[in-house]
Amino acid sequence: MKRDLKFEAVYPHPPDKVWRALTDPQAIAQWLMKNNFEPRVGHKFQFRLEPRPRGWSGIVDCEVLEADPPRRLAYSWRGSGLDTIVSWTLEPIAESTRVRLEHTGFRGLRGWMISRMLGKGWRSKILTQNIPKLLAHWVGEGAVPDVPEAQCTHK
Amino acid sequence: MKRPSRASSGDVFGAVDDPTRRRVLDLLTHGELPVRRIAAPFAMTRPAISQHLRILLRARLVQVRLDGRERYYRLRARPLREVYDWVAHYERFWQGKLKALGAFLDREGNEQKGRRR
Repeated sequence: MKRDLKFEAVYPHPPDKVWRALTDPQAIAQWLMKNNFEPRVGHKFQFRLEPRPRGWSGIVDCEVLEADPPRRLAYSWRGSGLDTIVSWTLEPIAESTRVRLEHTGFRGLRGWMISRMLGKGWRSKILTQNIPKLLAHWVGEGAVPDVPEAQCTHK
Repeated sequence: MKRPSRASSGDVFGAVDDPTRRRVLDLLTHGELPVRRIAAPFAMTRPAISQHLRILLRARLVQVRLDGRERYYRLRARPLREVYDWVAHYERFWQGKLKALGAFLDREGNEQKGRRR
């Protein structure tokens, strides 16, 4: 029943180089986020996003779950009510590398709802067309304040 | 799957976890509708639909207006907004990051070539 976010990209660079970009803290900081990553299973680290986005602490707590150079890397991705897993799978194609990125295991209150929202039939229409239109209209009314953070974590 | 509590936003989670209720919400994105119009596309009794509408109402995903003897329902997008923002946020976030990774790799490549020269 879980729904995941999946992305794929092909980079004209060899897997070793892509792996370095995914696992060297300085490299990661340049394209992803500030971090104290080490490519060692069990290593706990944090990503910090600056400036802090609206509705998010900007801190992601992680733990390395898999590190199999230069093929597969996975870490837990926890923050703001999300308890998820981010995994990277590298596959050489000629001189290039195919990278599969999966953000999976949406659980917890928000995660669960996100997974529902990503469910069949909703993603295609309601999420991409109807809801955005409605939200634009609703936001345009300007009468309703922002949803407070607490509302989503309320038990 | 553990259900969130029924209080406040908890209802939203349960409310959208049903194909009929999702279809009802979808119908209501086109505007306010009386119960009979909401019920029309479903092979369901009016009480069954009313039960779904009550759940949506409790979750504050719809609001109701009485006009004579007719009950009109309209969608309240507010509870959906944050979730929508999150999904959109993560899609955009990773798409942006994959692009940034590509740019980083290209940049690194050029620097290495530059150093070799």
